Amino acid sequence: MKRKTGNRWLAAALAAGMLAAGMGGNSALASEETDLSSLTFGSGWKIDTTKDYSGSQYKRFDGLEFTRAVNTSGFDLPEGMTIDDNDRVWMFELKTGLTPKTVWSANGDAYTQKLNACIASGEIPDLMYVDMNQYYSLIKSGLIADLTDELLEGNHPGIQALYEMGDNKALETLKVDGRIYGIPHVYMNFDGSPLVWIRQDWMEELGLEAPQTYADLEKIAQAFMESDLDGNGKEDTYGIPILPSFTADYGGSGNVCDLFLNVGGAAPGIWQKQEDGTVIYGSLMDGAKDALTLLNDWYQKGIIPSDFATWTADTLKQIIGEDKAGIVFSPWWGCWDALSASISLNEDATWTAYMLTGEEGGEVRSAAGSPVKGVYVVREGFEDPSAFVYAADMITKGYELDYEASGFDGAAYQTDNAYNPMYGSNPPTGLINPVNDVIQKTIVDKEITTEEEMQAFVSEQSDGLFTGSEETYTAILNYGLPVAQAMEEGSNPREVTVGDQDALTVYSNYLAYIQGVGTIASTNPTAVSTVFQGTTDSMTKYNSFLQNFEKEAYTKMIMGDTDGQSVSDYFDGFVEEYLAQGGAEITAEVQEFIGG
Amino acid sequence: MKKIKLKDRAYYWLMILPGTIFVFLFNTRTWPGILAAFQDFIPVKGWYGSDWVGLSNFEIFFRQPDSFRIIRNTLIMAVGKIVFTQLLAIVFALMINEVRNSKLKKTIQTITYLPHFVSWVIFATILKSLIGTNGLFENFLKELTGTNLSILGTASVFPVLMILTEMLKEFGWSAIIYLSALTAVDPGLYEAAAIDGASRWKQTIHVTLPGIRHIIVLNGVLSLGNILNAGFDQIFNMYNPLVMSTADILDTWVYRQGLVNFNYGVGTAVGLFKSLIALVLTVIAYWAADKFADYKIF
Amino acid sequence: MRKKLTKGHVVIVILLILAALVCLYPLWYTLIVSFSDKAYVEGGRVWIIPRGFNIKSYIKILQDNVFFSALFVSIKRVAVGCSLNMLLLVLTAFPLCLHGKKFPEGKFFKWFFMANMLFNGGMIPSYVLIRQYGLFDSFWSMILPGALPIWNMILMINFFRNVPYELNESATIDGANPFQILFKIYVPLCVPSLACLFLFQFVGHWNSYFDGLLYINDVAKQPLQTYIYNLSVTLDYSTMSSEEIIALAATSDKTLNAAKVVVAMVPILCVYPFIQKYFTAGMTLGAVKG
Repeated sequence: MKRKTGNRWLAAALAAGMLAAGMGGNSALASEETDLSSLTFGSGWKIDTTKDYSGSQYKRFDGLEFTRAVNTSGFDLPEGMTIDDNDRVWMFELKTGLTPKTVWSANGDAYTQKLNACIASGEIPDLMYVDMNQYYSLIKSGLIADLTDELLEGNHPGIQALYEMGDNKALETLKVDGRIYGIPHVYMNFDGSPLVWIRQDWMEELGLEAPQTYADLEKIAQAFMESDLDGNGKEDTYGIPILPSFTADYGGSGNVCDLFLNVGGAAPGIWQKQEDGTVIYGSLMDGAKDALTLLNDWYQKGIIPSDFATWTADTLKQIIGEDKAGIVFSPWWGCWDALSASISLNEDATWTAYMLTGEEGGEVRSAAGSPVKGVYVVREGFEDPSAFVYAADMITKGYELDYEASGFDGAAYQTDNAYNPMYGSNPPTGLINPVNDVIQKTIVDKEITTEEEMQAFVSEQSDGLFTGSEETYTAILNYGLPVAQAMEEGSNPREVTVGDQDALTVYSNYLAYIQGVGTIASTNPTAVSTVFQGTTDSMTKYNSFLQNFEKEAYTKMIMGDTDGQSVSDYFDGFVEEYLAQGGAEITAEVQEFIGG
Repeated sequence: MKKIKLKDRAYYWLMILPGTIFVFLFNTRTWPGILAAFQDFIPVKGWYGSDWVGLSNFEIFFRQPDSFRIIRNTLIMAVGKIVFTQLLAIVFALMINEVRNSKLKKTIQTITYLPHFVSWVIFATILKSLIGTNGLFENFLKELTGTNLSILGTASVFPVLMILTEMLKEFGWSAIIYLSALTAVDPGLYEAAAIDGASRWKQTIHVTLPGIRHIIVLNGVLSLGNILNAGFDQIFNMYNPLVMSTADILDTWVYRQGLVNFNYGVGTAVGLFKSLIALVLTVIAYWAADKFADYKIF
Repeated sequence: MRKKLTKGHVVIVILLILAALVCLYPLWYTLIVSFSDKAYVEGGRVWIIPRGFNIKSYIKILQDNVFFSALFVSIKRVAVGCSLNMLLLVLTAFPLCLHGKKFPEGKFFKWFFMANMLFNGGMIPSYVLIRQYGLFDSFWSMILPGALPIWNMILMINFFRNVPYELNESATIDGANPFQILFKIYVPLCVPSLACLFLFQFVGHWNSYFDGLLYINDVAKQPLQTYIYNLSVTLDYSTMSSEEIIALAATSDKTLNAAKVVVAMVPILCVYPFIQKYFTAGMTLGAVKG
């Protein structure tokens, strides 16, 4: 699937909003100094000069070059394009005037290793996308520029509104001694929330009812295990295959954090504020006992595979693909991950997504994700660090492409977004807080059913900032809703084709948006996220041990490998040991940081 | 006479200097980096500007509740690999030596040397898809015994697994040394033994093994310096949280400290600790090689 | 008597064949994956023979320019790197193999090399040095730092000690200088050992990827193993957005990666038969008095 985030509607809506926001602002000089109509980018792209770009936020940096490193994330460049000369870069240049010069590129682990070596040796590119660990290390080394004033005081309505939507948590997270050294890439809510996916065709075959609680899920798992659903004559179906992944900072396939949040209420791996104002590390919360006891019980009953701790996302995908399990925890995009082998290899497989509670009628809690996904940092000593704050803002709105003159329809990017110098500054494509209006209107209320209605709705948006991309809504309208309709009519959802898209593509989009996003939207769960996302001094000292210790203890408790103690007693011992081995020191530091 | 000698020495200097210069430029000059072991090292401040913290980096490592465990794991896997790979190599060499069909012999040799040439990064990936969950091997076991055994996920098995896979990859290659030693054994000795009525087996015990004894001892002694090298690439690519207790070794720990947590000081300290141990062991090894195998390495 | 096939021999041959099969299987598996259809591989349905046989992956590789430039860099690296290694090996080892009286400073050099073998400042200082020397992004950053492999040099010393010293003396009397003695007497006598050390260097250069990753920025100048290392995509949910994960899941291609591994092995398989005959003859580890 090629990512196309042409935000034509979005841009239109934003521009409309910006008119209001930009009013009263100092009519910017920068845009007047540069003759916009004389600028061309890439294959002759031009700025749409019919739009109004007055306002101090419209500042261009034409001719300013900066160096960068690119994580290609495994995406090849299209024929004839280079790393600094492709349609993603043209668009970036069109919006900001900045010119990227790539010093190196690598993929995945290799990128991280190389970047860390650069940070360690103090030779960094002008613009980098880093994680929190790297962010703190860079600040300690004094390698990156302070952007506080520009971010807080400057006129950057687009990004500022975006941060505002998340209660400015992202900016708060980045503060070190009150200063901010980077531009946050904000998370979308519930992006990684592990939903419970169940094989619909198996449920129907066995006449099972939709689950509401984890106890219901257990019954379904046992029914699956007892029936030879793949028809190989053996009872070798797994109940609930999970991964040894418990933390609630993001979620992802196989992660069990939502079970912890709903059964007992602990939030493993993230920091929580308790009622008395003290902070606690979520893995140490007493409620974890309930979840661990339940998981241990499942393990004893054989519902959780005996060797789950060695499984990876690939194993999960494979097991599901072989029809050896009919239940899996995976986010809304699970159809492209854990479920992908299943739906492509087995033409009968149909899936439904659920969000479960601990007790019947209880509220549903879910991992919302950490406020900051990554940070854009600028090398200290770069000519004009504020350029990137302007750039981030211009990406969310700002200068527009003259579509007619450029022969580009705004959606058909050939290059992957990984090559966009600041792709993380795009508005999140999915969900925010927790459901945006368009998803509410299309999936939950089913008021919008045609593209025209959608466009009309979007252009009505007066605040100028609705979230999500055109692609999302196209997928919902064009693929998701037809499948849903087919199901209502009783025909086979796996056989729906739309236009030149095959049935698999159509069904995948249905699963992602109607089942996945739709389930989150209609459940409207309580968002749980961390109150502290940084690294304290004692964390660097103790975490290498503590993280292993925690994972090992959790895994052992699930497997019942508890030296003869009950899970609950073993857990108490674990907490005591954890605090003694540095956990107490870390908690005190976090408490001090949070205040109160 | 004296003049010629001096001239020769000039030649020797000329010969040794290029190598010395390269080693000096690319290795000796990195030595200031070792200072980071005693510093709260911050790259920009460099090795002369960072704050000195005495031995506290060492303390941080040895205070870790699992420092003992890490050292133990390192030793178990390193020693296990050395001993068992060499043992298998010897047995393999002896067996190959018995094969008369030279085509078969050559084919087997060619195939068994092959894995040595594959880097661990690649080999580990292949192995994981074979012995990992739902891999060929686990399914086979399930068919056979009905039990669901996780090979990569059982802490007690992991070191054994590392040793076995190392053996699989290296036994053929390691056997070459023994094979060459075997060819050097005087054929007359075999004939004499055969005339005395000794079976092939007896010949192996009384002629072959003593014939290659020296090389076995020597190889063993020389391996001493590697006693803290448990194989970073292999373990790093194959370990998982469940087996941390038996899988984490000094090198993986140092890697996580240095390049993941940016704790350069501690990482360097443990690296230095490793080098010092290796120094002591190497000196012992050289001494032992001299004494027991009458072999001067230097 | 020797031709009689005993039971013992049969058992040995069977065991050896089994051992060979075990060694071969991991590589065979990679080979069949590279020829199989992606869906069968992901579903774990490829074991003995390729399923959904196709050569799409190989066609894709043939169209990949970067792969070929990486292959070329690797070949060049092996050729240049090994030559320099071998030259420095023999040059350095020769004076050190002599008796202490002939070259009294040898002792100092031995300690110098020993210390350098055991102690290294680590990755960061090396990185800083390479930058300081202006070797960044240069082919030579992969060649020069390991120009003299110390451990192999020590082995070389021992090979040289095996050469009867009388040859050296008589040549000296005939008026040959040490260079002539080294290259006309010592080197020809040690060809099998040299061939073996050459192979060590070959494998070392061929398989190393980390220096190429750290010191070379330009992808077109990186060696093949770095290129292959760059292929392994690990999905890290905590640092990737759903967009990235979705797109990656669609592009991650086990069969293509397997094919690249297979192609990467071809050069080794080409060199292998030529050097293999020296394996046994050359691995004598110098002066073993046995």
